[in-house]
Amino acid sequence: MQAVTFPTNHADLTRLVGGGRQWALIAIGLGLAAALPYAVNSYVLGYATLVLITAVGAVGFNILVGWTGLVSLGYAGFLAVGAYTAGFLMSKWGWSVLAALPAAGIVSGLVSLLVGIPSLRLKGLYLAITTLAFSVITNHLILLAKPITGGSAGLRVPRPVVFGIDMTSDRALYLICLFVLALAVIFALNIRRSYVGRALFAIRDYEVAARVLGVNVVAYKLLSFALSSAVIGIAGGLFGMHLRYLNVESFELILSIEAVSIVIVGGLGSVAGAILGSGFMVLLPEMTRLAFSAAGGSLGGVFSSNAQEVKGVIFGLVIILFLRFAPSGLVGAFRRLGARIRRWPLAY
Amino acid sequence: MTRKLTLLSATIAAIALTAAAQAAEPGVTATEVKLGGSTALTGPGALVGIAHDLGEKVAAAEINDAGGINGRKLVRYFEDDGYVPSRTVQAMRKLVEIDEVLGVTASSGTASTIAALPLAEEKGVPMLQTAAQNTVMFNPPHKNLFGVGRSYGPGTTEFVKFLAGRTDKSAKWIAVVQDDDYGDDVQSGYEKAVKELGLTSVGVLRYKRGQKEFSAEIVKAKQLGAKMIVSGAIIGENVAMAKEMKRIGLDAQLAILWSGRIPQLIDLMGEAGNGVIAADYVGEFSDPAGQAFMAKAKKYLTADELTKLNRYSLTGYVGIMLMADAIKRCGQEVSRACVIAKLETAKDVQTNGLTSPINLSADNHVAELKLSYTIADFAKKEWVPLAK
Repeated sequence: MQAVTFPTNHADLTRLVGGGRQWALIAIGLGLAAALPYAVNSYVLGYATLVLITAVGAVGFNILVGWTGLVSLGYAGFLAVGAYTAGFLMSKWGWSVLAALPAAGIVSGLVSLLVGIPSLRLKGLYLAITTLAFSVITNHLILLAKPITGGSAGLRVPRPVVFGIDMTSDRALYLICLFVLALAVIFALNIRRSYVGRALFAIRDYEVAARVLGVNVVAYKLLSFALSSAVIGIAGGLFGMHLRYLNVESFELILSIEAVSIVIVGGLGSVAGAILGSGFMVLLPEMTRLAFSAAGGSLGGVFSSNAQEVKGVIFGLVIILFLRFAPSGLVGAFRRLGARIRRWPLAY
Repeated sequence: MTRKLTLLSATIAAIALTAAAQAAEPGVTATEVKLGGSTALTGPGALVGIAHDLGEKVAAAEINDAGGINGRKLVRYFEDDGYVPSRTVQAMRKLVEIDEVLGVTASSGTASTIAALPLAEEKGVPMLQTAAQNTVMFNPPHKNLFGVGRSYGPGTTEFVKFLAGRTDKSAKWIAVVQDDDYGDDVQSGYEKAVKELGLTSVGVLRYKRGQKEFSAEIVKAKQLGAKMIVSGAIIGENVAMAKEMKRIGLDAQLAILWSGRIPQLIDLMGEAGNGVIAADYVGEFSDPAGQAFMAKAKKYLTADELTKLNRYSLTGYVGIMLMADAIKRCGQEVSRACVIAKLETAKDVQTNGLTSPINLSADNHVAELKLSYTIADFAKKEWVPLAK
């Protein structure tokens, strides 16, 4: 039986991941994820790709919401900025995806400063409304900037060939998304274990105390906005390549609500939680549809004729249930389950 | 030895069967032909999507009752995309990869259709769009995509010319259009007609998509002395405009395009909608062809479903009829490529009188149908045909 291990030194506290067992789990997870496209059909692969893209965005969103404690509803706006930047650069200027994706991150990060600066004096609901307004404005600007975005007609996004890999193949796009997610996770974990991460946690936990300790609150809040939005922007670039077509209708406000749901359901402040939450929330409607279909009869009919309404109800219920019974999200639930298994048959 | 031979024969037969199964065309078996579609069955677009689905349902039931297409039963797969392009892409994947449909007869709107096109092109799936014909969808043309209806630009030009024939020459005209690709097409068609006929236009007002309140636009139209208002709106916006005109007391003629011409619109507009003129490329439920359709609908749909029918049911019906015609002309060798080839040679395809005959060609993937005109009659709660 294994007891709980507490970190006792600086090296333990700043490790990228927990230890040998976690590295093994990550290796197995990555191996399975890399093998997935060779085992499933294109439809399942489409969902898996969407999970990975959502996870990239959620890992970025978690930096702002989970680590810095800034409530944002601007996810859809930053995603749109990244998607249109990468889409424009690839389709109009013929940029390689290797250049377009970082550019999407940089532009999205810079744009976030526009929102970040006025929001330095705002907190909680006020900040949420400000960022929500940003998403609304972004959608209007997309419609107005017709030469760049195609306006309401939208923008076609090519899937280029990178290092001889034809990305028109869904499998190649999936693997690229997996690679980008791995990079995003390493990036986020490195931020978390660095001075920057500790500063963000300090701001989240007690801003005044952080200031007293010498943390430049203004600079770190802005940095949090920029880092978070940059990662979300890269997710937007991938989203555009996945859809192969961008239109303002793809970036509706519900995306921002879903992003908040993902980090709550996964486990606020946890990178693993952001990934688990993405998988859970993206697949939830499809899983529910399959469950309803399997049930057949009138239950199956309910979902086939009221899919979006049922989805909305389930989304709401899941968030309420998680907040009430598992506020630490899926990650917390898994940790508790793991601890129970390790300590079994003892209760404590 | 005999056992070995039997085993060998069985193995060869299994391999042959597997190879035959692999070589089989997607969406076609000896007994079935599968067609798919994806529209909004929920949310704000459901009024359109559900009606379209029901029209297809009637057409499929009629075809199957008559023995199917060359003896093959028509099976439909329909997905709800909520009018969101990203969901259309996923729905399209399901239809093409899981359900393995032969062709797609419905997609929500312009954005959804364009979003679904790359996959359709990759897999060679023929796609039909019978509800919306925006320039952006067909320019540049796509091998797989076919449109049936009336392009918004030329359709608006023709509509304005019809209206001008009924209006005092000194009347002032104005257009109120949505700020999207649909609005762009309506605006270009309106401006072309104004120029060609030398009409007095006092301007084009653009409104934000999803706008609910139109007092500013209607007050401006009143100030400018407009007597003819050409609306480039869909459903809810037309309702808001008509009500605002009545509230403000603007005595002008409101003219709307087919995208908003549904029976429910008359209910929604109330008395304010009395006298609104509409253009459309599908007929009326009160026409002989419409009545024949309703007779079939009563046979194949439930009482609840019957209440959800509107013009989009007719576009859905027409789409299935056109696709069935192309599949039929492929004979027993049905394939996606063959259906595309046959659609490109569709000539005078009849739709049981619901529209003018459909003609398509390799160079022209949009069948421009003849427009007819109706006026909203609040007392009868229906669109009454207008004489030319």
